[in-house]
Amino acid sequence: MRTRYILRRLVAAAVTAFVAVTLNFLLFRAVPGTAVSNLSAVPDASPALRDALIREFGLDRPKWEQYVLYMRELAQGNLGISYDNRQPVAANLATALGNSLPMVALGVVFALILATVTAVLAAWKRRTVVDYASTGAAIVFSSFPTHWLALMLLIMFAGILPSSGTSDPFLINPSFWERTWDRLSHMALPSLTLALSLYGGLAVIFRSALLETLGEDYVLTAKAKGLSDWGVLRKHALRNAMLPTTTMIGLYLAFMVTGAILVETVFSWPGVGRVIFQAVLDRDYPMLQGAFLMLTLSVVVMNLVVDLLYFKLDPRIAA
Amino acid sequence: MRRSPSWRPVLAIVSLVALALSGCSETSEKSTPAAPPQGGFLRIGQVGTTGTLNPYAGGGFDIYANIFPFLIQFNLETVEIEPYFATRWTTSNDGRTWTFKTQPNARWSDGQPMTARDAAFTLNMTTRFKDGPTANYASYVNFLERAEALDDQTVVLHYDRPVGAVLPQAGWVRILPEHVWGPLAAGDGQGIKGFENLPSEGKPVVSGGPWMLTKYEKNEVTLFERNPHYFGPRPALDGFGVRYFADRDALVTALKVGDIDAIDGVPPSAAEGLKSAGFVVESTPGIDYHALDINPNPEKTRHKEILNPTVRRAFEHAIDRQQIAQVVFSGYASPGAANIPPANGFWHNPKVVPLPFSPDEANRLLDQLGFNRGPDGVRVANGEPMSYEVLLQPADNREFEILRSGFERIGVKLTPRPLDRAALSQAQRAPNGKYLEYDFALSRGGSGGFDPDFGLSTFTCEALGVINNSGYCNPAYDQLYNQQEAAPQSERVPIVHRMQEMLNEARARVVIVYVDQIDAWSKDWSGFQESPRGMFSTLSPKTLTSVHKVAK
Repeated sequence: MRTRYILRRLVAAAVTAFVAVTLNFLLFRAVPGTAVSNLSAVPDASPALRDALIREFGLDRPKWEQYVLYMRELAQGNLGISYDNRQPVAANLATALGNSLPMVALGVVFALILATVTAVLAAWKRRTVVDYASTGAAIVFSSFPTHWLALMLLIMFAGILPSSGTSDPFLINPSFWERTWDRLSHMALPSLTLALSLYGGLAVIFRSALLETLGEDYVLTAKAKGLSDWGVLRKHALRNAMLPTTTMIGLYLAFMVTGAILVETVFSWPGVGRVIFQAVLDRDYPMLQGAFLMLTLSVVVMNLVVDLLYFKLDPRIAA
Repeated sequence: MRRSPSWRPVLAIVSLVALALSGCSETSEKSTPAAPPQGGFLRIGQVGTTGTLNPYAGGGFDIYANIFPFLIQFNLETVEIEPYFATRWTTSNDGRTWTFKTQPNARWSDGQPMTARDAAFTLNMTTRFKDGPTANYASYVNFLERAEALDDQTVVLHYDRPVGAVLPQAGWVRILPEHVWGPLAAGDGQGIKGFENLPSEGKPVVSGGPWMLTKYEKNEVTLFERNPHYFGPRPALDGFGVRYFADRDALVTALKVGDIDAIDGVPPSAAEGLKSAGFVVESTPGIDYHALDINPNPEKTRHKEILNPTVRRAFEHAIDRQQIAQVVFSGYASPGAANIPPANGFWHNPKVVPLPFSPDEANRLLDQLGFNRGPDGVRVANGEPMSYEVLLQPADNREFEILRSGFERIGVKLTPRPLDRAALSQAQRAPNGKYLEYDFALSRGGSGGFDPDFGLSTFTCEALGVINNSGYCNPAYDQLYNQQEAAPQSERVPIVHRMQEMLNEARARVVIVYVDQIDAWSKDWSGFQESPRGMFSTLSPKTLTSVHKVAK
């Protein structure tokens, strides 16, 4: 039974990935403007350049042929060559991912901690000033435009925390700790921005799940048995409230691979988000296809992991 | 009577000697000014992205200008061509052969000799593969058959016809080290574009300019150190770094808090704030402009009234250039009309001047044509309202609003259609490169460099579908373009002036304002040489060579 469940999930994941890859291929070519019209608009461009680019990118071939070639290369693990710097897409994405993951992971962890604390406080002290204040703050932060929030933090902490890049490129021969501190301090503002913009939605969902659980009969029984409010929360409510929240956490983790476009733009963070943004402007199809393939696979895998986690979290599913 | 001894001749001689000696010391002081303080590392910030370190693969032109030499360079003040790697040159009588003498005893940064053979190799490689891997330099080697190195200091360029614009074309090709790029040029040259040209194993990119590139992190930073083997004047700095920002506010904040020392390309709205904060802010007339394209294609199917020259004159009278310069660019722009800006020196035609902002005159012209206003105030021409869509990039919205207000006063309605750059290009050329559909577009253009060749080429028929966005195509203009390309440098100027007049009369691209280049730096630094493209410039290797820390 469990094996059949897992197999079904795997097949669904594979089909989803195939459909997403095909849609990606078609979608970017439907957008007005082409890579050639962009890349040939350089100083001293000529018709010879335009024709050479068309041939180089294979854009003189019929769309179906381009698709077949793309799928064939993909099956061999080749994501193609970026139109921008003529380097392998996989290498470009790997570098960008290496920059994005630590920053986004830190932001997601901050968001989870903030959301958990907010939700628990709000549920524990429900219908009090603490509940209204913490929930209100969560809603306010989640409604701030991310770009604006990033700029506000940049201005507020100007001169205190670094405002751009992953590290100080002008640091000469730093020790291990100097380099670590440098990288962490550069990560602080973008991660904090991400955390503040993400935690609100998560906190509200978690709070709702907690309140629903706190209204169950077994909770009443536990209280009648003499368990404290905090004990009830910790031993019964939190675990059961995790179920709907787990799906959302899984999605957050899946979207980590795309970085955070707006945050990375404000803080000049050279991550996947910024790469995607630039690739859209440049109509760099191979980079866009590669990035969205990465996102698709990430979401599919995380969904699978979450589905499998439910076996552990919810005994009713295994039964 | 005995005459007393006369001291006057002696005194005169002593005075003369003293005068001569003081003049010599003054001359000595003038001929050897105190050297600026040596050393220091300048941190520059810039909005944008790095392209690639491979000149044939894409952008990064400002990087190449600082690490690879050219045969010639431009004087930043007079725009005149000066020697650089080439020390002098001659042309044959038929204009088909150009002979260049190059710097003796020059070396690449790795110590290898830099000779005329490197120049010949680069030009031959570019020519050989100009339909493929080196296509983005194809226009630099127009009509070039081959380059021949007679010896280490002599390179001869052989053309298949007389070419006058050799200096700003072939003379502007980035000379590459043959001992690095030679193996890539073998066979079909497919290895050329894939070559990353990165610093590796602790060694910088092999460079021949005043700087060598020592570190490169895509879209983050590029670091340069002084090239110890550079054949030109020794830069005062030990090195400099360019940090790339994606957001203008973050860039300005970085300067204010001391994360960087200078900004190449200050947003106009931030200039006064930086001045108040105690930074040096300098603006230089630029070689770029903002313009309004009005579709000139006689084959266009709708709104044929905009092809009428009188209608175009009326439209130009509705453009309030002064307000755009003041409001959109905070005064860091100047109204203009000629497609070659004044920053291009003698290439600019001063007789091409903008029509004054005069809605009254515009109304008079349109009334004369019988384009009366409808009940909604919008004029009607050939049975259709004079209501047009304007293609624009979202960043040009403020400019559009000023245009809209001016056109409203003459009974013409404009509606915006925001698009990003790639989509806007395609929309102007729609459908399929035929330029039939668009009416108006807010565009940007420029001379492309100190030489007007590129700027003028963007209006040729051959450039349609490539870099000609306005859709202008005139065989008479193309003939002049070919003439100026073939003519000796001194004969090109009147032709270039006439071309600007033709473009102005056609009003396919109505120049609105020339945009200033604004740079800023901390008062701890001095010696910047301004250029219309900024301190980290594609136009000259000299902009940073005199920069130094202010002695305290």
